[in-house]
Amino acid sequence: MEAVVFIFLAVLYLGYFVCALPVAAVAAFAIYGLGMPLAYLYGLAQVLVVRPPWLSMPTRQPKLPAGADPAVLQYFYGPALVDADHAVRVAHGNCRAFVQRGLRAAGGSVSSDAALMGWPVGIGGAIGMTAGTLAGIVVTTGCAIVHLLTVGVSAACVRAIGMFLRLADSAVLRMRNINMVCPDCYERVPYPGYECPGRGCGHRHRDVRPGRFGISRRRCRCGTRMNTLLLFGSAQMNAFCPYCGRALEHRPGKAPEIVLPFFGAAGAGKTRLLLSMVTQLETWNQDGILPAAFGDSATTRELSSAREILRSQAATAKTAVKLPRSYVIRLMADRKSRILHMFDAAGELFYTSERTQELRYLSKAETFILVVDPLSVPSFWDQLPAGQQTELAGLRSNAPSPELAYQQAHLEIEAMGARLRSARLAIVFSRADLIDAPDADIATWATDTLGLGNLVRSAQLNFKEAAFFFTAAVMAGDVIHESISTLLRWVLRGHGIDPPREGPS
Amino acid sequence: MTRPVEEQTYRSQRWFIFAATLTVIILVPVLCFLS
Repeated sequence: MEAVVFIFLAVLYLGYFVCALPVAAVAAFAIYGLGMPLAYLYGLAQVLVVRPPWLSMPTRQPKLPAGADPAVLQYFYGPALVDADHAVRVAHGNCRAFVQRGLRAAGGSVSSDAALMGWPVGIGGAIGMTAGTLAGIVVTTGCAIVHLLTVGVSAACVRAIGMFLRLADSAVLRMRNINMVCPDCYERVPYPGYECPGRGCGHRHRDVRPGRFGISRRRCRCGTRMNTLLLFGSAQMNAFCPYCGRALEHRPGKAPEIVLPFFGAAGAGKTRLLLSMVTQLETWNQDGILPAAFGDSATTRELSSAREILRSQAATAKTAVKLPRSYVIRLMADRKSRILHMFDAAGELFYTSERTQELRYLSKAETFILVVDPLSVPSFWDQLPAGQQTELAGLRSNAPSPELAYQQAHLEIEAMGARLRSARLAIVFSRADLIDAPDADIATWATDTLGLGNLVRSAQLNFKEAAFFFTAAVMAGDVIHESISTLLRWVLRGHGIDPPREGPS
Repeated sequence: MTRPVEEQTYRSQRWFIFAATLTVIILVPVLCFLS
């Protein structure tokens, strides 16, 4: 009887063994085959989505070069790789914990009090877990490859878009002929730096263009968003020169810039001519002929009294012998804006090459104004009647020959690499209100009467266009002398601006 | 852990990477099965 019972129980146990072992193996295989990739995805979700407070710290951190802008790195320029590394580590930890839990369960089923019943499940589970883990590793590796490929492709796309936008913005600037020049340091500014517009922040960003800190927008460390391109409206922020750090109040980048240097001997009348041209622009602005406005506070401070100075007929103050800052005037012609930089350097800076070399804005100009005082030319002065000489003696400048300033500036402009063959030169003879206008052509008069033949021939040979003007920087009542508007029209026409003769009625 | 400004800045990109990874992981077997 006992033998029968034993055989029955043995058959029953064998049946249990035959069933339990494969069932446990299949179940363990399924659990680990699916559980491993799920553990990986759970780790990915922890790092990328949930980010619980107890999440471990990433072992790597993106590095920034010293002196980098105070902005948050764009995700695909470092942080995405840090996250990928972090996610793989967290997922690896999850998978390992998952396998260890299974190993403990399998070991427990073999060593427990009910080991007789548990060991087929434990053995089956261990076999299934081993196979499932191997299969899970393959699937998890596939998931990791997909994740890393997604990061890599996204980073490549974002960087390509950034590069494209940067090139597109540069192309637009080139097409619109926008070359920015700093009024203070004369450097050609490829792109202005911008101050963070956040309240109370003032962090300075030297290069906001698409790149490691953002594609269409970047975020300052204070959290404020900033546009990265002039195309996207970055010109609305406060700009500064990335070379000298001084403020560019005229918000450059949206309008072509005209660099207009005045040069000539000391006392030739450069400043007075500049003031009269500014006054003419003011008149045109008031008459609705050509809308114009001072571009920054320094220009407003210096030039807002130009009309009063001319009207009072008082002598213009001597220009300080120092590197000049440009006067910035914004012009609106045909609904398009232009920025006019007028550089008025003291005549003394044109007497020696060392001083003239410092005037690096000369190489950025396409139009030059040479101012010559006919009274300073000895041969002309000697021809004047004695009475007129007595009358004008106080107004005559003691400057060296106008040819010295011309030759000096001419040589230095060429040495700076400027292409004079594409530049225009206005040779302006001042004092038209004091001496009689020449009967002949002004160039012929300058050659024959003033003895400036060399200067005239050199200007005509070396420049694309040399025009001659005879101007009087004076006002009759509230009207500026008509010679000024003739000169101003010639200057502006070369830059695509042709102010109408009359304002809108 | 990154600072709050960075956490805020990267939220959408992290979501994008997670969603894109998940989509590819689901789509690849489905497309393989269908083809």
